[in-house]
Amino acid sequence: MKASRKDFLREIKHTKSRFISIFLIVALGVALFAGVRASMPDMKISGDRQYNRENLMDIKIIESTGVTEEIIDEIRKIDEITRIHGAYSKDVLIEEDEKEYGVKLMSIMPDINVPYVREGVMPSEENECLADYKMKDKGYELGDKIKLYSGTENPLSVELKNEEYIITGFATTSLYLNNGRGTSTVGNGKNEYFMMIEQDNFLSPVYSEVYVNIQGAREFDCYTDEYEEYIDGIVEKLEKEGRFVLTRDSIQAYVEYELDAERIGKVGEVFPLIFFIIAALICLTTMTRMVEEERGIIGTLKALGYSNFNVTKRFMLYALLATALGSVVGGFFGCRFFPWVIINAYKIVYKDLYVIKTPLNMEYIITATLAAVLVVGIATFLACYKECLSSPAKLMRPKAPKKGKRVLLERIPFIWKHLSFSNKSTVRNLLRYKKRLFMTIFGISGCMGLLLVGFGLKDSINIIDENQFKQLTVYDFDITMNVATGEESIKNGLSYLDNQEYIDEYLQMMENGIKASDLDEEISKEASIRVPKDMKMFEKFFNLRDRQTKKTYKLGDEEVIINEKLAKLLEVSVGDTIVLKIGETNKVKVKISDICENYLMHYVYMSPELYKKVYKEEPVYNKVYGRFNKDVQMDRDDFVKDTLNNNSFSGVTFVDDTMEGITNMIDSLDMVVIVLIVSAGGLAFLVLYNLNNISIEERKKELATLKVLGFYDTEVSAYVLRENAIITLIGIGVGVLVGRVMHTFVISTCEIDMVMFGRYVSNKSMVYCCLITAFFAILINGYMHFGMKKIDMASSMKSVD
Amino acid sequence: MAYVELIDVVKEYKSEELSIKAADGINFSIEKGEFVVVVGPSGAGKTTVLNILGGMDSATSGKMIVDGEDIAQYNKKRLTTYRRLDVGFVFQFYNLVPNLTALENVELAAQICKEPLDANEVIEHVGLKERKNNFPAQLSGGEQQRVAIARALAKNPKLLLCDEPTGALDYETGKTILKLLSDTCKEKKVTVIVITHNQAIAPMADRVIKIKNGKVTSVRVNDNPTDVSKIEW
Ligand SMILES: Nc1ncnc2c1ncn2[C@@H]1O[C@H](COP(=O)(O)OP(=O)(O)O)[C@@H](O)[C@H]1O
Ligand SMILES: [Mg+2]
Repeated sequence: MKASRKDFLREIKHTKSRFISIFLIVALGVALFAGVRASMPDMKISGDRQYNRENLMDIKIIESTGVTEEIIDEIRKIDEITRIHGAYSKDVLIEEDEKEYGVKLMSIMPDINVPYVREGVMPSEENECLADYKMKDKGYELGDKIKLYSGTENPLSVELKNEEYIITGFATTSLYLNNGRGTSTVGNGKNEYFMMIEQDNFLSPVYSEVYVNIQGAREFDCYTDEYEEYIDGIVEKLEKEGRFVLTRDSIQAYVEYELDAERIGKVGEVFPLIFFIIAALICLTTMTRMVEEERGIIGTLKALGYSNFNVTKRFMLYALLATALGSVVGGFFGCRFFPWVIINAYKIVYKDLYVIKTPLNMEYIITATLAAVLVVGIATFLACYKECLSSPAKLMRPKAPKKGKRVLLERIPFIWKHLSFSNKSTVRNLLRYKKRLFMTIFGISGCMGLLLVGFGLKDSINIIDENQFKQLTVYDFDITMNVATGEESIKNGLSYLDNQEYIDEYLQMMENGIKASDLDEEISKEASIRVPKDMKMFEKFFNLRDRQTKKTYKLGDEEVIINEKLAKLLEVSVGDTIVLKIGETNKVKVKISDICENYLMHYVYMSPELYKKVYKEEPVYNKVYGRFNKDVQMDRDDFVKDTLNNNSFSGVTFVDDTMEGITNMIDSLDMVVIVLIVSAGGLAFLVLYNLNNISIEERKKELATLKVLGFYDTEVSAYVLRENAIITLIGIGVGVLVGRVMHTFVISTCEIDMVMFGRYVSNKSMVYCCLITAFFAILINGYMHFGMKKIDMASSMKSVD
Repeated sequence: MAYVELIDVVKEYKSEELSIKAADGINFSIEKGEFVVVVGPSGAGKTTVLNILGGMDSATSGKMIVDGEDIAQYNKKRLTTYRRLDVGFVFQFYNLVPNLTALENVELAAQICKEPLDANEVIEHVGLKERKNNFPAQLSGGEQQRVAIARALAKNPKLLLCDEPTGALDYETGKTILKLLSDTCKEKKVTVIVITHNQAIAPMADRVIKIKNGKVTSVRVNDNPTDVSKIEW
């Protein structure tokens, strides 16, 4: 082996902690970069593969008159259709623990929307059924008999051959990826489960709907524009009077899943980049230090006649080897691990997702590797280049030690005089190694910032629950009035509500969908206009206030109040005029008096007087917001059943259900937050480890001198650790600021238009972040203490440098 | 009994392939207040012996009596205390803390001792009164070595150990440093041990110890030491 190669390998062996730390830090940076970025595509791919496996519908067609065989034959003529089946579905009820639950009853198709049978087998007899896997958790077993009820006056036997079914299997379907089973036309308005039975059970001469699979559609990834365009092209051919052609976008979970994937995608755009930058900076510092340390060797090699190229090559090889190894290991690990963790986190919400694909995302791995290699390569080259310019003789002489200098503080005798001797040297030391000082502060504050974002993300979503439904819009339920049934019916409905003891009070409101846009009508957003009937009552239910000052706004008769996010999206502020559109022709202009705190959806609040003035008509109060009387016992399901059976009402929702949805979202974020915390912690650890190592190397001789003078080990450590403690504190302080900025940024990127997350980090989270950062700092400093104990006095005194 | 006594001191450096006996049964003794010069060729084991005597390193075997105590028996902690209270070191490369001024470097040592000398007085003693607020980088080599001597002296040590203190200095500066050391020895009644590979300065010592290949080859007591200013080399 050539001597230079031997030297190279020995170099790696001798400096293995440096080699390993470059390797690890690059690995972590690349793993996060590639891994978190890959999470969005991986989520989409996982979904797509699962849909393919079940031949999930591409198109669903409903006819207003029901679907006949003739219609199916006609649709079948379109070339691109590979599979087409008529199907039945019906909302029914079952009884469980003396309570009614809604069930979506569907007919089994041979090869479209194929359920995934988790336990048992598919039904083979007419009186058998496939039950929702969710039912298994509720204690149902294979072989159980389930009796169905129609929930209306009409008996089920009119529509179904059997009313009792034996469970032969438990299954899930991608039609219902998450916990929701959709709305129901009977019972409490909500389906709890789905069930599938043989098609022949349905007696109706016409199908409820037709499902279609399209040729070649499965070759596309379904959450792509290509797929959508392809399907839309076919759909256009199918459009017809009296016919509803629906795509997968009509499946609620399908859409929600995509939105969640995209939210992770946004996180992936910001976060990993921060990690990556920190990692790159650390490698840069480390390599610069290595070159400085070995300037003597550079000099010797040059004196021996090695060219600058050869000398540089040695360091480049060292750095690039560590970086390349780190990138590859990190990239592969990251692409497998992070998407896996994140998808599993989302499985808390999307329980029935069972295909998890985490392919190696070569695009991201290669991008990250190239970036890492390039950054470290250039840094190393520049560091070498600077040294190579010196003559060998100069290189072999020791570099002048870093000069001591007076610091600004010394010019303020009032403070300086009162500092103890060791504090003075601490202050000077801090300012002596400015580069390291800033790097360390940057590293610590970066990590602190990342932790804050992680914790803050949770806080910010949590606050939606807390603020929206407990402080801003305080109601227990809302009812939609069936205004088409006429004034008399509405009056009856209201008097029905008046008679219910368990309803404390309620507010009548007009609430309609509109489009709000800025004066130039350049930006336009979906919003709701809210016109309360009674202003006194309105103020009891709706607290329109400023998010920061908490000042309450009153709804005036001249101007409107809109919510903060809408104002931001429309780029308008108080005093501006906005345009409210119903359809394309009905436009009115109104002025904004105030902008109020609000987290879900967009609202334009208007007083009835203003409404009459601008629309020249009386508002139609189509909503009721109500509060329950906590002292009176009530059965929620009965309430729902009664309201649904009442012609005056067309629907009821509970705040609790909405809040539950948000809670689920928060739970799924938990895992993401943990990933962030662990990664940020790991990064903090590596950063501190690296910088402290460099710090000790640089000052080995100074520390050895202290030892020679008779400083005890603890005193020597204190000499250095005092500096670290101060740097850590500064880092934490800066980190709080950095974190707040990053948090606001990440929050606003993660948000979808309809939602505003809080811009808020709780004090508890703040304390946690500080403690975690401090914990890592203490851990590292403990480790450093042992490193310093090992410094050999005798050899340090001998060496020149 | 002598103030300092080394008996059969052995220091063995073991590595995988070979073991080197840097001190191979060293025996000598020194009286209190003597100015001792240790001479010998490079690699003879002088530094090894001095480091052991100063408590920076421990011997593989042997006894080392300093002021009635066998420091060879000391554990690490006691050795540190010994260095802290009883020993002053001066090295070839000064080893000042670059970040502290001359005076502060002296104070750094003084602050951890039981009975330190006044830092300002010591700085004055080594002739740096005017430069005491300068940082090491602003001082010449000779001046830096003076600070190092002042730092060692401020501890009011029993032993002042100097390893090639003039090694990095020019002839004239070297001479004044040696003069400072011998004057200090006489005035402050400190026992001073100076290592050198320069045989020519042997005549200024009260006692000359020659070391070669890890062994003492001769010990000569000089009843009439020559003043350093009269020695030329
Ligand atoms: N840490 C060590 N490991 C191995 N050998 C050493 C070590 N320190 C010194 N030596 C060896 O011990 C011998 C004596 O060294 P030293 O005491 O420094 O000599 P001097 O100071 O007389 O020049 C030399 O051969 C040297 O190589
Ligand atoms: Mg030596």
